[in-house]
Amino acid sequence: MSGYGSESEGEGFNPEPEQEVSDTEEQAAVPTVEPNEDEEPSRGGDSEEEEDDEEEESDEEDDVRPHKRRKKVRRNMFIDAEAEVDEDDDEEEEENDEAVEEVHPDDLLEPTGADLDDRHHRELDIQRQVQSHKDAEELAKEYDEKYRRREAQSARRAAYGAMPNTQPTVEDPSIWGVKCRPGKEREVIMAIQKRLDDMVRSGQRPKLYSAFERGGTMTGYIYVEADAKQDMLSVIENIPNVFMGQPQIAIEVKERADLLRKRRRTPLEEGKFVRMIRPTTYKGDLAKVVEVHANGLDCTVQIVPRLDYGLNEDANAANDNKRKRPAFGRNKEIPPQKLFSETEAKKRHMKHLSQVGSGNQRAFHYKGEDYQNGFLIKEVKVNWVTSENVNPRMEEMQFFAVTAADGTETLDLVAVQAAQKAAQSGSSFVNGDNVEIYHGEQKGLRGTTVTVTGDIVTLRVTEGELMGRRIDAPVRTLRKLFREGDHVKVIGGSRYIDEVGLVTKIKDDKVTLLCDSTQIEITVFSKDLKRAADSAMLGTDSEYELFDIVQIDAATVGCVTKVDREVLRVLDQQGNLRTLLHTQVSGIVGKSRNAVATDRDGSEIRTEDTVKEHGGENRQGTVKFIHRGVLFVHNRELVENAGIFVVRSTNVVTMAAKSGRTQAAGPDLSGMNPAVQQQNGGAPMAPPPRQQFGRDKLIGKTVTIRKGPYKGLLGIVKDTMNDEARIELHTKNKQVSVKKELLSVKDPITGNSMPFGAGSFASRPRGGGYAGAATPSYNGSRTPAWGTQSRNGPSWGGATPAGGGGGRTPGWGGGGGRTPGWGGDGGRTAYGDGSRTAYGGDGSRTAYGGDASRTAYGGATAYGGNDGSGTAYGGFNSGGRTPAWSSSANNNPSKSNLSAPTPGAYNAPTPAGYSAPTPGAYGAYSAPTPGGPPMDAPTPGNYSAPTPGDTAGRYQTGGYGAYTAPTPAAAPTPGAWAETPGEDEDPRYD
Amino acid sequence: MSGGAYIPPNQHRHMRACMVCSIVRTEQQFKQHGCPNCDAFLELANNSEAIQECTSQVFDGLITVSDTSRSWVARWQRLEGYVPGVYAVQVEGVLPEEAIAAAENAGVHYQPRDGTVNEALPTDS
Repeated sequence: MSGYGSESEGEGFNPEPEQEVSDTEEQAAVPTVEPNEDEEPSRGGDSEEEEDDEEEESDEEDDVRPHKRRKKVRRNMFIDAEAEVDEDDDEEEEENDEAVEEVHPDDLLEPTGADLDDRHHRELDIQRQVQSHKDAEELAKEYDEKYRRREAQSARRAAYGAMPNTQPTVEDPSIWGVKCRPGKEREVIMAIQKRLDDMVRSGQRPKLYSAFERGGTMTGYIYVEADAKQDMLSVIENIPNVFMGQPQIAIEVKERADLLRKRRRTPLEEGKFVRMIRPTTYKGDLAKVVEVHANGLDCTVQIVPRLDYGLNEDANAANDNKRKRPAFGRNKEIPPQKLFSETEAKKRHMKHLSQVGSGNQRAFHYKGEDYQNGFLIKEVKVNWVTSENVNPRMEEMQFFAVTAADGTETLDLVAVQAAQKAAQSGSSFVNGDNVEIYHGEQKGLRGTTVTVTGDIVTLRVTEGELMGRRIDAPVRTLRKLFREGDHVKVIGGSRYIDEVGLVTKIKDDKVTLLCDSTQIEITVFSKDLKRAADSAMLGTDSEYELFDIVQIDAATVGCVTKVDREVLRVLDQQGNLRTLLHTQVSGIVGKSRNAVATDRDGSEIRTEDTVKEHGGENRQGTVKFIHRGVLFVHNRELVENAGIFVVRSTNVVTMAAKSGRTQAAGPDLSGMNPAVQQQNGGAPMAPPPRQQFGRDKLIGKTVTIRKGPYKGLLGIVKDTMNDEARIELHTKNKQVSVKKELLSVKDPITGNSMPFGAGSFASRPRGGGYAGAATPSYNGSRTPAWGTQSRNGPSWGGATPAGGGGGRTPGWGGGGGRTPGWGGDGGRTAYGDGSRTAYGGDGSRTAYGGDASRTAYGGATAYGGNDGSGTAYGGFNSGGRTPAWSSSANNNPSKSNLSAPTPGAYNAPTPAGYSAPTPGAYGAYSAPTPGGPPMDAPTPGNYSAPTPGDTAGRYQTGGYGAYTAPTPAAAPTPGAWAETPGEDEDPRYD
Repeated sequence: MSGGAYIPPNQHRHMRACMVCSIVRTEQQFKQHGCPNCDAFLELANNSEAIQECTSQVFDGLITVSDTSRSWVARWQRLEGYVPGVYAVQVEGVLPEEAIAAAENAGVHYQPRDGTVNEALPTDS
């Protein structure tokens, strides 16, 4: 082939007038098919076989035989005439150019007898010319040119369509479809080509005539043309990615042409919307065609950029030029669509950014791409975009909205139309629609649709000459016919869907209507309209309603103030009005009935309460929603935001509570108090908290400071007030004020922590006196509890300190600041615990598990009851309530003592207590107890106050380690036990 | 051309198709040898600009033809008389006016191969 190419280069191409003539002659001759048979004459005899082939091909419609005969005759005759001249040429061509051999230029000449004569004359002339003026070389050259010309003519003839593309016949080679690996079609074809190349090189004639693929449409198949299946198989065998395992499909004759059907690419037009295919970052994105280049191959599109401005860049990546290919199968995260931001780009990529335009032309060059007005302007190949099935969604179109001079954003309707043109099908027409042809030859025809088939609408003409006739018309030339004043409904296509209005103006297929709902004029396509009798129902399909509270992002909620078809207007918690697409809202936040806020007076606000702004505009309204101290308040007298406004709860005063709750009584925290909640099994309401009276037990105690600047220093409490204690430091003669809760009470002699003091609460120290008593309770109580309870565990942790106080707790609890809790505690503890513990109530509960733990306490307490039976009880409670404890702790130790004991005492006697001993209970206890016995033993010795303290300390620290520690404490218990009727239970404890 | 018409896969992204005859070669090959069928009038060899204008990277469907006269596919694709090799079924792009004129002058009727002309029907002009 190269020989051919070089030759042509060397000689150039130089048409001669004389040949031009022949050209025209030929054109004239072209229409007849006959002449094809005359091709062969100039051919050397060696190409007989090929001739036959060609013959078969060319005269499919005719009978083959007669032609052949005739041809042969003619050729002989012809050769006589021309052989002398053509000799060299033929040789030359055969050497150099296969193409010439295959379709010999002369094939296409000599159409008729007359022509033939003509040619003969001409050729004779040439001959003479040659003889007279030219030497052999020149002659050769000339003829070469001539033949080349003829070859071109043959090509031209083919291309010309003079030979209509010949439908395949049975005479043609067969075609088989062969399965291959999808996506590898081109490679397979190339592999076949390679094999063919090799065969040719080795002198074989390939039996496979052609192979082709239609990757885009027939994925996973290649098609092979050959005379026999075996010929084909021998070539494609063992080509990678060809699936030889599956049978090859013979393609029927009439289907063959379809395999090569070309799909007409919908032409791109400027302003049209397309979808991106190629740069993977933008795949599927909507783009607008800005320019189509003249060659039809490239176009410039406008895309909403997806940039991360280097935020996800690996700063440590080596700065070499090697492009790193992302690991296979893992696609990089694609940044969201966002208009180009100069500031963002400057943050990290200042060096990549340069401003191109000037003035209000916001054009930038950033990282090799151009950005204009926030859009990426990119030049892409036309096959990187598709104009099919674009169907732009509203949120995508938003970006492309054109901002008019007055600041209103309007969508470019023409562009939308262009985008939707592709999607337009007959589906928008319904049988019986009144339509008009507004484009094309039949412009102005009106009728009613009869049937719709794909893109063709059959209509019955209702006016004019053609009345009654049925006409088919393509959808795109039709518009639905409306008259001004018609009441229509928008049924699709634009964001005005479902809008209903009155037609005011009609131009082509654009209809302007005045919306019923908004009294705004909108322009839509008539195909998107239908006559409507009903009135507007807007936003019915929205999942959001007015005043819904919606989640905007993880930290933001807002209240819907307007529901539009496409967008929601949402007032967020900062008071900003946002316009969001439905899709940008993650969901509705359920209204919580229990949400509580406090107003500036500390009163509790719940939803539906009426509040009034304090200061500011003094707006008033009912609370719709409470979100973290922010109230969404609704006042129907306000116009803006549908009457919703946002205030901080601390800026409002409660005007009226919904259910007539007492106001300003402080928040009801009982709901937060686990003790209250746990005990709500009918335990009597606790008595109101006692006022703390008497001297603070802490005063005069030796304490260490556990926290703060004085941490670790030892001192003596001189005075207390509220939660603070004045402490005289041992180290230097100075009094400091420290929170009580930061103090640990120490034994002045041993320096050990004292039980109460041990607790993290200053309050405990008071209990300390009782500590001894407490301790036992501790041990007893916990042990079982521990063993048994899983869920109490946590409470334990909490409780532990309490436990330390356990003994105390009751006493303590008494002191509990939260009086209510207290009352409850005391009451309950005493009863519940006492009863259980003492009488084996514990036992029974133990079985339960959760209770058991407490019970245990109670039990302990009961016995500890000796020390301060009450304490013991308290212990119980505290166990449960531990949290409560911690908060209130410091208050009334003394009280607790008082209160605690009493119930305890009572409890002990209570019959319930007796009943408690139930055998089952024992059993239960016994299991956990094991630890108990040891405890008992040590106990007596341990009686001393400090010990308990220790234990307590441990408790706090080790939490459960307490168990062991408590043992000493336990000692008291036994004693207690012995005395108490609950003695039986002792074993359990153990 | 000595190595045949085979194009290794790593060169596939440089493939272009002649808009006139639809032969597929790499840009490099066009530059070195021109179009084996159309170079008489397109003069692509050593002419990058002409290659850009007259060949297209946007084409669809590869055909390998070993015998352009015997093959029905070749006939259907109007490849008769062309060299055996790899062709495209459909070639997008618009041939510049000059190139069309040159082709006409050379006696080659240019018929776009981008599917805009229905090949099943004979054209009458």
